[in-house]
Amino acid sequence: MNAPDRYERFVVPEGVKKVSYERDTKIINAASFTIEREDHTIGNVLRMQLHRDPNVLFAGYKLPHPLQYKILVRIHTTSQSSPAQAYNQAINDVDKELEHLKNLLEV
Amino acid sequence: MDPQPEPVSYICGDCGAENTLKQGDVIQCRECGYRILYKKRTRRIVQYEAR
Amino acid sequence: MEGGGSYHRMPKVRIREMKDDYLKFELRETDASMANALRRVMLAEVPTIAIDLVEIEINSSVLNDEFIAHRLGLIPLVSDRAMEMRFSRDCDACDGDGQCQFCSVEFHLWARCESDQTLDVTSADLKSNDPLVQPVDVARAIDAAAAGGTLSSAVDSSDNRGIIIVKLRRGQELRLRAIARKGIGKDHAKWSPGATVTFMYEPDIHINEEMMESLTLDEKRQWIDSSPTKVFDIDPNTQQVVIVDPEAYTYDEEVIKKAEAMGKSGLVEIYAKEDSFIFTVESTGAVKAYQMLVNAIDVLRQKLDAVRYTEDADFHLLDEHMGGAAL
Repeated sequence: MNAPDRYERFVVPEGVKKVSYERDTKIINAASFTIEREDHTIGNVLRMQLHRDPNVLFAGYKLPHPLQYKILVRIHTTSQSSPAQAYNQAINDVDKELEHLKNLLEV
Repeated sequence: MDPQPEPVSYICGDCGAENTLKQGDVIQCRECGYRILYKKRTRRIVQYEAR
Repeated sequence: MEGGGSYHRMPKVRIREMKDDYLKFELRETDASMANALRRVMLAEVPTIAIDLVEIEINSSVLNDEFIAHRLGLIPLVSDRAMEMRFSRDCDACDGDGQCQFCSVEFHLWARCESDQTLDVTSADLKSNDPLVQPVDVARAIDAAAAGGTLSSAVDSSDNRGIIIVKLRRGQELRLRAIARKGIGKDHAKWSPGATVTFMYEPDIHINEEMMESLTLDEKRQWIDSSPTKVFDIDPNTQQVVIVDPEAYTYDEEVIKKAEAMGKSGLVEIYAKEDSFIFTVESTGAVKAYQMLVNAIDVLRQKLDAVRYTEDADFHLLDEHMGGAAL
């Protein structure tokens, strides 16, 4: 009856940013990314990829609540890198892996 | 305020004859006297979400 | 600030078995997060086409309107077009109406029973305005007819008889128009192209041969029979225990418990190879199983592309906050 519409799980509302960035006030090179309308599919794959980066000291994600359709990705890096750099690098790496997979399938 | 109350057609639950009733009419089939009448389906198109 | 090396993997794929609606393959040299992402996307985010709106003109069948509308929604439609189609919600050709050629397919159905025999209304009675979008069983019948024989005989024969929507008796009639739209399984399960998508870790089984030889033939049999699935057997020639089907192992640990109970702990060691996965994909027929995997990769890449972080996105917001007036 008062259940939220199903599409709210994957349609980003107008005026809301898909990705936002919040720096940690106390620790340098630590930050949280909020990704709107994403879940474990993206969250876990990004976390595992971030763990492969030696400059990443900490990477974790959480789905704060099943009815809040967003995930938080927290990254802490060495001074050799930055959370934003590690984050985008992880995305690029997963994308490369998928591109490679696609090439394998389309021979 | 209330214009001419339109007569509505009903189907008899026993003999299946069509009956038209107006407001205040006795609910009874004209053919067989049966007292259960069913309202006919609308001729309008009705829309549904397939969920 | 340097950093920025590339740390991506190069997974391997081997396809074991492939049919239109079934796929079994191995995915190696990657981790569970990737396997699970692919599984989740195949089930819930690979788009298909399904009936979404039903306009009923006449329905004198025994099933009520909403019941029939629901049944129509669940009929799988051939969705090879779905990846290129638009979602109705972001189609600008029909401003959200969801009834234009770019984001919808129209179906008509008209059936009336005139005989004393019950009439089955099936998916084959749905008339599409797009020959590429048909109920899956109708498409299969068309293919069978192309391979030889007439369409009507192919529709009537064997397993292509169509999905029954409702049955009519003499005098009953069903007349409706249905709009099919592109959607994803996350919205409603009717849009999921996957019947089942599963993966398992490949097991790595080591038998301690020395300890195994200390067992009598009868003890070996008892031990083998303790497994609920047929993983081990006895070689009739050598009377040795052999692994016949490692993938039949369900990680139930029964054989390990049995070995312990026999006072032979360490008789067998079983590990899950953490970078090797065996996938089983079963399709509803809306998208071919192999294509489901290819589409899942594309969808996942699109999702990744959407979550890239661009700093200027924040600067824009900053500009808005400061407002033209402040500067």
